[in-house]
Amino acid sequence: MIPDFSKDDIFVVSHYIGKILIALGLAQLFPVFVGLVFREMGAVIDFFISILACFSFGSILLYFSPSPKGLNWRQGMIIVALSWLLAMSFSALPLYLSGHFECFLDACFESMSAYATTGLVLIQDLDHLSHAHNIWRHQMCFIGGQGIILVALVFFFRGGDALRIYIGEARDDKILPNSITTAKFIWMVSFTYLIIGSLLLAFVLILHGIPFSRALFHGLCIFMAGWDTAGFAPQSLNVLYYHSPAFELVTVIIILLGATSFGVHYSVWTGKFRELREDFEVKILLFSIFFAYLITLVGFLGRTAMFSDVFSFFRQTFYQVISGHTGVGYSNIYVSQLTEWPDLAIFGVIVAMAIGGCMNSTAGGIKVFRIGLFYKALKREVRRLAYPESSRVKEFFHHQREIPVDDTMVKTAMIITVCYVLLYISGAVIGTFFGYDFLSSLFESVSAAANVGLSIGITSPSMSAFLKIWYIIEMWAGRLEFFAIFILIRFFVKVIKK
Amino acid sequence: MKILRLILFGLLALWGISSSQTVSALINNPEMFDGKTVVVKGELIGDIINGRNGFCVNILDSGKAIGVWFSESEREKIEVLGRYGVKGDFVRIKGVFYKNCAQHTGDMDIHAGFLEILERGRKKDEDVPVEKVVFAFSLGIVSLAAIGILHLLYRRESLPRD
Repeated sequence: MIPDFSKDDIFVVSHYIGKILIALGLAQLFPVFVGLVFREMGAVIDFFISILACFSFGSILLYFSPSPKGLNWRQGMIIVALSWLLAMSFSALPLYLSGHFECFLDACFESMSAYATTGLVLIQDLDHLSHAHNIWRHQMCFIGGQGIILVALVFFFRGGDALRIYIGEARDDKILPNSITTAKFIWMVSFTYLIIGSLLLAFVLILHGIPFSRALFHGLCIFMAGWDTAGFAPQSLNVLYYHSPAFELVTVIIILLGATSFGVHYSVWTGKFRELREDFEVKILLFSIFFAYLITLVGFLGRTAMFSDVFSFFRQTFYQVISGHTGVGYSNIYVSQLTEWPDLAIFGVIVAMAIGGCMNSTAGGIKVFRIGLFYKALKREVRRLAYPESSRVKEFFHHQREIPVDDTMVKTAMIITVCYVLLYISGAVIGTFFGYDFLSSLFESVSAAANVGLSIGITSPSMSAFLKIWYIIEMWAGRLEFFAIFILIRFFVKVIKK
Repeated sequence: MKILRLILFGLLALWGISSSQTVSALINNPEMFDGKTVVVKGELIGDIINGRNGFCVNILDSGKAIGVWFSESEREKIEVLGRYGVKGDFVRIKGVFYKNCAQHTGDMDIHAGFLEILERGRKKDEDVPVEKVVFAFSLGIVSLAAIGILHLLYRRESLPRD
């Protein structure tokens, strides 16, 4: 008998969402600080309004839903799915108040794109946006990459409850025995890299003559969006703004680190450098990048005249592939240059985007882990058929330890992969319905659902509201890997039926 | 007849100097302008980025930006760069447009040979709408009331019952 939803579910969900909203309000104190430093009083007031809205709404929810005794899996999943939607709406408030968005929906699109670490943007006149609003756009990437819930997890949840919430946010790798210590570890790694990475990026910009405060601001923004594979940048030209191959090289290192699983980071941090060589996911990631780049290279056979030399060819093509594969979406070329690429080369980038980075990293997409798992399962089946019937065939993969391939694991991976493929295709079909060609629609749809952020030109403030909403759904579903959303839909259906 | 031709030539030359391409036209039709001399008008934004033989500043025109490389001699002409609360120098530049610049590892850019400041940039006064401040103040009161009630409720719950 499947338990039905009760009033208690609503109270429990409201209680935790209230806490998450208060945490979201506290997170906005940083842009307030930045606004005060740069003396941007208009921006400070925007954030003041947003913080108060978070506190008021959060407090009201807490008032009407007293502390629950515990949390079950179903409630955990609903909290995750719903809190992402509410975080999107509340975080869009200061963005909308900045006056850089045509409508509130555009601001919501931007905040979901940041939280889901996608990087598609609808902001207008980005080059004149305040430092406070700009840092908030990138801070959302940083929060969303680690997981919105992960922020609240450290402060507001108990051990058992934490695990139910943690897994709902598409993380199933408990690096340490306890979810809260795992969350703390993830934050420690992220903050350490944040300091090193931002300073390194700032150093390159200082070498280019940019003053320290500006260089640090750009370094911080680019790191937050790069490490979390979001692809936002503080200027409208994205990475192209810096006109610096050296700067791009540093971003490649950062995005590769961001697309690597936190499990591997943990191994390296604890001195097990061998894991870098032996981890099955790292191997598949490198092979997959090579494979996708090979498709792109083949696509350019006989078409290399469109580049000035070999170095610029490599710089532009490899950057798009690695940016797509890791889901960061940084681009060092204009959309008009990308649309000139041969279809097969664009297909190579689509493949890269669709696969994505590692599980339990900040990257999106199907994930290389699942691709590797299918390969191992296929290998096992072939061996099973080749060996005598009485023999027991087992296949293992190395992911911090030797793990046998089991059917449940393959089945779950298959369900999620099918969901991703359906999501990619649905967006492509809807894009085609709105008059775009299929390849472009597929490119944009995969970019949204796999949380990449590269654009072939469809995403713009003038695109249809329906398409904007659909891309928001794609980004949300792609980031949470479906299950939490399915449970939320079931919850709403049950509530409406009652 | 010769005089008429000369006048016509002079007018055409003047038109050539005064007419300019939009940044959007350059970006969207790079093939058409590749290697040709172009005139672009726009706002200088962001930062001065030093390179090997000069420096680069991005120019913004109708929401689209492109990098423009200048020689060192032009540096002192540039005073204000656009960003939040600042309108950058509005300039006209004449230079060669490159779809894939060999000198700058394949970037699409312009190598400026001529820079003219049409309007000096300036700091804009930050105007905060009164309605926004009133709204923030009202929300602050509501928020304080909500937090106060919550605090009282928690205190009542934590008190030992008789």
